[in-house]
Amino acid sequence: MSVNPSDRSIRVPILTRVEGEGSLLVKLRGRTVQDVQLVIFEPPRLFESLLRGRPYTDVADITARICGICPIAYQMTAVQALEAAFQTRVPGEIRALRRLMYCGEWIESHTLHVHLLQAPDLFDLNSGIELAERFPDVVKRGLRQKKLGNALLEALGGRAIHPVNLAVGGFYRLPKVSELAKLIPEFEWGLEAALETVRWVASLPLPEFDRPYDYVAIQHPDEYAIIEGDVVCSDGMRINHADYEAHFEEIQVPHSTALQSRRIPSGSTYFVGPLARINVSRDQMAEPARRIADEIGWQTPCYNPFHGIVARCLEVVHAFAEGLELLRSYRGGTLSRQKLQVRAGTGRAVTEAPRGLIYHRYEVAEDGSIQLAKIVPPTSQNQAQIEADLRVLLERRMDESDQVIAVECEKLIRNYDPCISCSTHFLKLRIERE
Amino acid sequence: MSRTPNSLVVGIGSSHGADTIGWQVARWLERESTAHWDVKLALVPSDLLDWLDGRPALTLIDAARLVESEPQTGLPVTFATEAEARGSVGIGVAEHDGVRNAAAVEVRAERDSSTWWPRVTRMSWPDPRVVASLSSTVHDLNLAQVLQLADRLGWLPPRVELWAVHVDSAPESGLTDEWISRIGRQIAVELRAWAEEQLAATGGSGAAGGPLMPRDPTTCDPSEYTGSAGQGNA
Repeated sequence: MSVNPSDRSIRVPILTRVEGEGSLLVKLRGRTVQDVQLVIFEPPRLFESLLRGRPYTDVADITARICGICPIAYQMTAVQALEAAFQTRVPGEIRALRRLMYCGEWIESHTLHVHLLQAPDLFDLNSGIELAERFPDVVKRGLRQKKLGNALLEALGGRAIHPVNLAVGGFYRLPKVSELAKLIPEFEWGLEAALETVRWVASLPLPEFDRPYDYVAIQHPDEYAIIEGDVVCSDGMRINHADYEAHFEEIQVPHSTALQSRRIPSGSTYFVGPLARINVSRDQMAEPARRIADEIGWQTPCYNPFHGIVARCLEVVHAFAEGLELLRSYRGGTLSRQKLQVRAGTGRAVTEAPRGLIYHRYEVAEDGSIQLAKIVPPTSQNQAQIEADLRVLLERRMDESDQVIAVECEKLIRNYDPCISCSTHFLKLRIERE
Repeated sequence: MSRTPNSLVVGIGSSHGADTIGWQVARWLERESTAHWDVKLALVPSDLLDWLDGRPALTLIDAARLVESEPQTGLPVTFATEAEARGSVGIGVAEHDGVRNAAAVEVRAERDSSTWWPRVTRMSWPDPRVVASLSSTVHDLNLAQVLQLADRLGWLPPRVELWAVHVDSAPESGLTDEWISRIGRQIAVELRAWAEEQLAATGGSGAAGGPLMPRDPTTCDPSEYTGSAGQGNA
């Protein structure tokens, strides 16, 4: 039975399975969506201010605390920005280990999101716990993959959560060959498991929700971009990463303690994350990922955010395939860290966090102390796009009950795997109908 | 002869403020002995899912606080008992029908207003107080959800104990070393007693790590340790 949307006020208190705390406010006047606000009330965490005056060596350890799920993204972007400030480039073997480390984070973060946060939506289940009851073997397979991501992070970072081994100039300690070699059989299993997961996800009915997105990601001429590249957009824009702030700006909105990003000068929203990455760089994925994407008939460009779950699974395949290659080719090394010439300067870096592009800029004084820090996480960049998507969803489903609308809003938001702790660095839902 | 793996002790928390308590107690237990238990530090509860590899027992130590029921939802208070919710000192719930080991342990109540004393609640999975907190968070996976997920997957050991250290009114300085060690000793006593029982049940071959340490009577003050599994408390 359809409902009259003009005379009801609806409050749905909790939106779950996202990282962090906030709420969603929807105002409907008649058949018009008057306002949609991602109300992020998690207190600002002030990391940028906290870094000011501290030695550059503190930055990786402090920025890692922004997120327990994706600390590598913050650490890696920070150390690479500082290396840029000191005009230092790390040698190829260090760079390869950094890519390997990032593969571990993608595996860990993506498998958690796919199996415990997003997949339950596809069966109208309330949680990963219910999914585990229905598909125990799928969930076990997913969690074992996640464990391998963590094992890799532990081997390279000293520990899986808030690793401590990444340094400006390289690593504090290089892993022993044996420490990485023992992961090879597990990663061989992981690659096969990831391929099976893609086939499983591809067999599931995904909602239709095509939208004209501007996908933004980094792109590199020689590899599937993870730790460096130009910033590109699906509309044809290509810029050097150092020019990021000339093309994207963060703005404060009254309803959120997190900044929101917009494009300059249009003020338009944009989309970052696995779907953006694959849309701009599918041909550069590892061969097993390309092959399985072809096998399941997955078309790009893909403008349906609900296919984000497929994109994540494909990136897990990529991460296992590239990770396996890097594990097999690791021969150890003698130089763990490049000698640095500490100097005054400004450094910028972009990398691809599991949830999307992340940008850091640091101004450093002559003594190596941080004078200014700017950190733009992926969720801040996606927030305005999420609000824009919700407007469209609400327009399409306005006649449905508030309960159904609330559930569908949650599902749509989870496509983005938002991390509110990072961006306040989300969610109670309230719908007001007039 | 294959040996049963050690039990697993996991401190949950972080390096910040009162949230360090789980880690501090776990580290104390690691320094005390690793003969019968292995110690890990978890930042988020989902870390546990990586570590439940056929362990015979799991002991969790976490900071806990009383959470006001949310008026909109009427959700239960996390880790709180009715007695605590009323503001009384100590733990009032001694048992729950049909739930093993639901008795609560009070290590020490507040003695006077000038000194802060920690209160510790021991719960055994599945404890209704933990289960009740399942839907009371907007974060992705809380501890209760992780335990329930592991339970569904058949990964939980037969014995799962949660020691909740109440930090509601903890001073900024956190727990003193004295109280870290008191809580640690109490857990060690419990773990050793359990290991002894397992050893006896398997004719001396089931537990790893060599001879068991005798119970240290100085670690357990009967006047403070007022409850044990299934016995209720004073």
